[in-house]
This record gives sequence, structure tokens and C-alpha cells, in this order.
Amino acid sequence: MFDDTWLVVPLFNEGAVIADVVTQALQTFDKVVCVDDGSYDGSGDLAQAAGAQVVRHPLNLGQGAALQTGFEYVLADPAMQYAVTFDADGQHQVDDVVAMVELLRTGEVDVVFGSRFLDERTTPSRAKKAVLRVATGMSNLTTGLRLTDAHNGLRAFNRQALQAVHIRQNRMAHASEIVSQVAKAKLRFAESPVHVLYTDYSRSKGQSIWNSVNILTELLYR
Amino acid sequence: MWIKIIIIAGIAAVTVVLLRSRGSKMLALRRLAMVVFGMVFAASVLFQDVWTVVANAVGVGRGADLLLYMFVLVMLFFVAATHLHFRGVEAQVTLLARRLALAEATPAGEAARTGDQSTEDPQTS
Repeated sequence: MFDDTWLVVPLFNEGAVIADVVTQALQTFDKVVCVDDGSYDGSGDLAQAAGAQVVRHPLNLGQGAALQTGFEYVLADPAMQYAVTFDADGQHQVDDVVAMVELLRTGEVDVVFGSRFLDERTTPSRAKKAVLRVATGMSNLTTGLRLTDAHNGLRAFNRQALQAVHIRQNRMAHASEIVSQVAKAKLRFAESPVHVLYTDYSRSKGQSIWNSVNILTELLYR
Repeated sequence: MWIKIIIIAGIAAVTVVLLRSRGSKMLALRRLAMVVFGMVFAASVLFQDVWTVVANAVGVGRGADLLLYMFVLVMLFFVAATHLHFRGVEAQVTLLARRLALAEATPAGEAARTGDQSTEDPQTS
């Protein structure tokens, strides 16, 4: 059913949840690759045991670098038509990915960005909402694309779109970088509503206000 | 005040030079600048009044203040140069690590094929 679709999961120290995340994804998707970005809690082994393909960075490079490695990995599979970036911490829903891939299959768009602000399912805290609004505003200013949620880990690409993306921002600013490149390559895009599940676990390591400062400086000094 | 113009020009020069610092010409210029800088500094230790004279000439009260301004400027140059250098190194390390990671992984096409076999192998079903 989805043997032409790869899930690309950047993975860094998510040992507590990664096995469940991979197991759940594999119930729908056949092909899941975890790019282990130098985890030191055995996340890579757990992902592999759960049935994912694992590509291991010899040292920690950052989420952007892990995504680019994943992209190059899945591009080597000639059967790959669609690739979806998926967070390792369990905050994304497999059903949302299915909807995004179906949207790509219509052939009307090349890229589908997930957005948690298109429906009422996601309930971020007020502080988080404010941070995301600022990040989205900044991203819309610098990238030239109008999106409602700039830092959502769920993005689906068709093969042609994936070939046009070359992430050079190793750390967090890759989110805006991807959007810029999609704009520059004049790819057709759409947004799709996704439910981001905030658990105590994801809250404990989620994007804080400090992280948004880092993203801004990385964007300014690229 | 001359000093304001000099410092702002210095900052601008640092930015421009760093943005296009490529190749052996830049390296040579940097080395020459280091030599000149060292000689001027050594000379200024021998003739301490020079700082005050120059400071007054450019509109700064004391030689010590001028020295501080120069120090900050040089520091800024150093920070920026180091930052650029590290960014280059990081980009290289990333490519290297990625190559290594991909070389060691089961190829994506192959992984898919073995996956098919385990589910569709007629001998096991």
C-alpha cells in the first residue's frame, strides 16, 4: 500500500519512546528510516530492534543534518516516490501522514506541510503558541511563502521535491531553510492539518523560548 | 570625530574582508597585516607617547582609550574569523559524517527488497 513511501525520522536520544513510535509507524508504513544523530542512550539499537532501518551519524550534527542524511538515504531507493519527515518523540499521528501522502498522490502538489493551526485538535500552551506565532511570522518574512505553522516536523515531499531540497542548516533553522528552497524551486505546495500531541514527555524537551532565540540567530548568520 | 569614522570603517572592513576571504591572496594579506601589526605594536612600546599623539590626532583623549578601541576592533575580527572558520569545518565534518553513515547503512533499495522477501517468500508461506 505504502511501499513507495519512506518515513524519515531524525533521532537523538529518544530511547523512552522511539520503539513505540517505530512500531506504530510500521503498522501503516513499510519503510521507516531513523537517522540516529549520535544518540548515547541506545536509541538507534531500539529503533533497529523495532524494525526501522537505521543510519547512524558517528557524532551529533543536529536535526537538519539528520534530515538531509535521511533524504539522501531514501533517494537511493528507486521505488521511493514520497518521503515524509516525522518526529521521533511521538507527537505526530500516523493518520495525518496518510492524509498528506494521499494529497501528494493526487499529483496536484509537490510538498505538503503539516500545520497544527488548521483545526482545533492541537492545544498548545499560551507561551508555546506565542513562540510559534513569532517563528512563523519570521519564517514567512524570510522565505516568501505564507504558512500557518513554520516549525512543524511533519512534511511530505514527492521525489522531485526531495531532490530540490539541500539542507545546509545543521541545527534548528533547517525548518525555514526547507520552506525557502521549496519557494525558490517554485514547487507546488499545500498545508494539511495535523494533530500535535503534547505529552509530558514532549513538553519536557520541546521547543522553548530559548530555542526560538537560537533559530533566529541561526537564520540571521547563515 | 575621526575616531568614529575610523572605527566604523574598521568594522565595515572586517565584515567585507570576512565575507570574501578566499584563497591565497587573502592569506598573504592576513599575514602581512599581522607583521605590520606586530611591528607597530612593538614600536609603540618603545615610543609610548605615540599612542597619545595618535589618539589626539584622531579625536580620542588618551592613548589608553585608543588602545582599547583598537583591541575591541581586533577582537571583533578574531571572533568573526574564528566563527567563519568553524562554520567551514562544521560543513566539512557534516559531509564526512554523512558519507560514513550512508556507507555503513543497509542501502535503502536493498532494505526494501529484503523486506519484501520476508513477507512474500513462497517457501515460508
